[in-house]
Parts: sequence; structure tokens; C-alpha cells
Amino acid sequence: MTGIEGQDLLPRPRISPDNAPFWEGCREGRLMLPTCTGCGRAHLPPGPVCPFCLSSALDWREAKGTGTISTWTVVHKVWFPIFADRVPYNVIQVQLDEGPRLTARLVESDAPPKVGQRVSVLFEQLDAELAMPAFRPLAG
Amino acid sequence: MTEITAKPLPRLDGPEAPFWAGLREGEIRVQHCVACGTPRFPASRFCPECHSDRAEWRAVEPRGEVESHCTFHKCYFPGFVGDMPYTVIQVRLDCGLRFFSNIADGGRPATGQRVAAVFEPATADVVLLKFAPEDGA
Amino acid sequence: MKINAAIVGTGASTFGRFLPQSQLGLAAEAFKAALEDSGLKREEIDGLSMHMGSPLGLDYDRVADGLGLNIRYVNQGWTHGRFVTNALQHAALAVSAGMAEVVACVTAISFTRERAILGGPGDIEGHREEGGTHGESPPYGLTAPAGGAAIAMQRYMARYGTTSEELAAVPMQIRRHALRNPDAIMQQELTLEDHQSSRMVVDPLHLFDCCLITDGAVVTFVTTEERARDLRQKPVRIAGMQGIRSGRDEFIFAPPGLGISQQPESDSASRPVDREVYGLAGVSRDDVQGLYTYDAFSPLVLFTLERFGFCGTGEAAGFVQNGTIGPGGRLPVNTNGGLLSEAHVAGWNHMREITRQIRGTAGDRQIPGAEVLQWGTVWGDSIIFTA
Repeated sequence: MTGIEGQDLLPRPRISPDNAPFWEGCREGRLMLPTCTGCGRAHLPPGPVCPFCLSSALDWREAKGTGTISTWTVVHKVWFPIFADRVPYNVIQVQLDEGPRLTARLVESDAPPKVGQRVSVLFEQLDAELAMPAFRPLAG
Repeated sequence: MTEITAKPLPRLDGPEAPFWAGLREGEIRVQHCVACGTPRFPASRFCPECHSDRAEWRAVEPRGEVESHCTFHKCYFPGFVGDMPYTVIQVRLDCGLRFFSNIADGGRPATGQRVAAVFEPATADVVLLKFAPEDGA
Repeated sequence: MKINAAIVGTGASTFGRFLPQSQLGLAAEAFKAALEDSGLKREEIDGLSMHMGSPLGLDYDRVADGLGLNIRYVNQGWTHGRFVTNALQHAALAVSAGMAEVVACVTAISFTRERAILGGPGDIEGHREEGGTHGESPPYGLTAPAGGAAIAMQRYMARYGTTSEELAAVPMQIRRHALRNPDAIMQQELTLEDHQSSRMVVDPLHLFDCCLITDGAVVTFVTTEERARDLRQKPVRIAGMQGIRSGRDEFIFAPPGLGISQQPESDSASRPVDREVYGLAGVSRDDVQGLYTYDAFSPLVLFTLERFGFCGTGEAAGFVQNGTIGPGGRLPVNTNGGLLSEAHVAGWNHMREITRQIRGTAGDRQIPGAEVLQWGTVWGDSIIFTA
């Protein structure tokens, strides 16, 4: 048996009770972060308790949508057949101004990503159910 | 997401490749240790009896006895929907080797029953090893 | 190196079906309950020992990250219930060796959300070339742990003449224990008629011969005996341990010698190698006041009783009749209600019950003066717990 079932399909995020509000926010064009009402810190990936103080009293709050590229890479190998026509493509890690980091792509930029570059979020609607965050260079 | 309606198939290009080739030719071919002669299945690099790493593939007598069975009433594989309920048997060949299998044509097995191999084509490349009661019993 | 370890804390989430929380959410609930139970602080947990990984359970890194822990020892087995003993043994070994001060065994499972992994096309491991770990052989339809247990029990029945009605005594007695446990999911009596009329899953196993499919989490804290004496609860001492047996003699759900898959055939009599744990713990089998075992399927209880020599080979079905393993019986088994009737938390719910029994806090289920309890499985591993 060769090949992996479903290998030509778009890899989709696994939705869980902890992260569902994040993905709902993306569909609505809003970057939502689980935030502790006790100690005030936001965290990623979304979890059921605050990893800093262990409180369950979390609130989902909209982030400003801006941040700084903390690291990046460019993928040259075709790992996912569905991404073959995108290769080479970049992957960035953004430190949001609120603190947590998010993995995404840099779009609307001819230049490769740079550590320290300021970016802002946008949402790409992939299908009826899935919108993914991406980032564009922040002007100025 | 595509629906899986076919039954699961074995991997043909792994260490058991000569076994699957044997079934296509109507034989149960297994490794025999060159040093001590003990047959073994599944394939392994070393003989579990004497640890020799020299082996050759030879056919064994395709006859044996049903040692156990179980019948699936819960359908785990969509490809088996048409066979529900179906029975899996454990057969011990006269040479001592065990295989999990089914009774060809879905007959009811009994522990201790004598059976003989049936080489059942599943696809263009795959022949499965099934068993039928000896003497048409 | 001598084992120097005790259970000092236990906590659980609610147990149920289709629970709204994620596995990590259930783990957080159980973890906080264990901190409360033990009096320990989060910062004092510096080891993790786990076996039910993602997606059915949790991976250690997600637990450490999501609960904000600082861990310096990790053990993670691959995703199978069989590694429950092994995970607790690793915790005991780690603290005995000074590799960690307090190890948390964190088990959080969502069987209801992830049941495809158990059998059928969703069970990727079952497609292992040489056969899956329960004998899976998908081209012939043999799949799922239930398939392995069924094909073993069929042969046992052919050998000894055991009937399904005799087997029913196992889930019926374990259900009687569950009726005294408010956390147990099954809260109604199980009659012989209920058992016999329940649907066949894989012949000869009826529905009530098979464990529950549930969601839940249990967290267990292990530390050294010295540290344990300084803490809030009466320590539950890990007095002796023996490991998983493996080799051509072994099929996960059959006693050695039954002749399933590649097992050579023998009379399956209990051997000294099956019973090392008693000597290591400094007790005899007769001292054991309660037996706890991985009751994923009712035959496994019979096979375990024979493996450790609580009765002779082929005699377990007779042994379990007449309430022997039920409440007030000569050898109570799985007083929490087991995987069959309490919930499926891979045996950690049994470890919680063992802890309560030794502490003397098992309420209506209390085995009087419980001082020596055994956890033992059909695949041969075991731990003796003492007061």
C-alpha cells in the first residue's frame, strides 16, 4: 500500500472545544485570544485554563491584529501535494503585541520576511467553514 | 473526503512479498531456516529458534485445523458491510504455523475442524489465503 | 535500586460520554483535584508519566505547556491501555532514582470523540504488516481489541467448556461494585438476562462483556516514602513491581500457552515467573485482599485470575460464580466498577480506587482493613500496594 489516504486534500486544523472560538473568530474576520480574567495574560495555543496561573476564568478577547515577525522560513520541498504550486512558500511566526505567538504566512510582500518586521493580520476564506489568518507588512 | 468502500488490502512490497507472490501462484510459501529447518511466519530476519539469519522461501502443505474463531457483529470496516456478520478464524497448518483468515464462502467454522487452503483473488494483484472444510464437510 | 515510592495524591474529572471539555480540559480538572487532595503546589510537580497520547489522549508536551509545569522527567508510552502499569512503574522508578521529586501520571481520554482509532480504517496501527498489537489482520476483517479478546475467549471456551452464562458472572459482579460508586456511569443492576440478551459485538463477546466507551481524566501523584510522610494523606506504598511480559509466548489478551496467534500451546499453568511480584513486595498471594485488573473485556478477568494463580487453569469461570469477586466476596475485583461499569480511564480509575481503599476512604466499598492490594493484568505486569 503506498500513499496516504487524503494526501491530496487541504490540511485542515483540528477543531477542539478549546480552540473552536479562535476559528469562529477567523470566520468573522476577528483575531480572538483566550485571556485570563485573573492575571490578565493571553495565551496560545488555546487551552482550557490559563497556563500562567491555572485559572479557568478565561475570556475570549479580540486582539489588535498587529505584531512582529519573530522568526520565519521558506519551504522548498513539496510535503503536501496540494501546496505543490505554491512552493517555495514562506511560513512565519508572529509575536502578537499581546504576547502570544502565532504561526501563519506572510502575504502581499515581494520581499522575504524579516525578523523584527511589523505586520498586521488579515483573513483568507478557504471555504464555507474555514478561514485562516495571514499577515501583511504593516505600512510605515 | 472519499468514502472507503473497498476492503483493506495488505502491503505487497514489504518483507512478506514472497508470501503474497506464492498465494498468487496457489502456494503457501513461507521462510524456512536454512540452519535448523523450522518454518516461520510472519517473515523475520532471524530464526526465532536458532537465530540463524539464513532462510529460504518454500511452500508448505496447505492443510490444517481451525483453532479458534470469532464473529463480528459490529461493522468496523465499511468494506465489510455486505458480509455482516462475518467470522474470522485462526488456522494452524499441519506444519505448525498459524494464520488468521476466513472460511471461503462464509461458512460456519468449528474449533478442531480440518480445513484446506483456498486461494481467493481479491484484486488484480492480491490473492488472499482463505480456507474451506476438507472433503466438503 | 530499591523501589521507594508511594501514591500521595489522586484527582479525577467527571466521567461521562460526549463531555464538552477537551482532554486537556478534563486533565486540568483532575490535576487541580489532585493538588487539592495532596496539598501539593503546582510548582512541586517536576515529572510526568503518561501513555494515552494524542489524539485519543494527551501528549506530555501539551500537558506541560497547557498546565504551565516545569518538568525535568518525562515518560510517555505509546497509545495503549496496556501501558498503565508501566507508566505508574516509571513514576516509581523516577522518584526512587532521584530523577524527579513528584511525578504526575496524567491520563485524559476522549473515547467518545476518537473511537475510530480503536478499529476499522481509523486504526492505522492495526495495518502493521505482521499483524496489529491485538492480532489485527484487516484483509480478513480481524480488527479492534474486541476482536483479539473474542478470538482468545473462543479458544478458551473450546478448551474448558466455559459458557457465556458463566462468563457473565464477571460483568455482573463488577456491576455490583459500581452500584456503590456514585462516580460510576452504570448505575443499574446487570442481570444474566440483560447480559445474554445484549447484542453480540464480536462473538462470543456480548455488549456487556466489553468496557465502556467514555471520556474522563485521572491524575495520580507519586513521590518517595520520606516525602509522602510529610504530606496530608496516608501514603499508598508501592511495595513491589513486575513488568510487561513479551515474547512468542505472549498474546496480549490470552494466557501463555492458550495457542492464540503464534503462542506455543501448553497447559497455561501459572509459573513462578508470573508471580515474582509477591516475593519482591514481601507478601504472599494469600495476603492480597483485593485484586484490580484491566477489565477491557470480561475474559481478561478470568485469564488474570489464572495467570497469577488465584485459581487453577480452566477454573476461573467456576471461581467467579457465587459472588467470590463481588462486594463482600472472598477476593473482590475492581471495587470501583472497573472499565466495565465505572468508566474507561485506562485503569487509572482503578488506581484511584486502590488509593482510597488503602487510605480507608472507600466508603460503602471499603474492603475492611485493606492493607495489601494487587493490580495485575493478563499481560503479566503487576504492582502490589500496601499501607
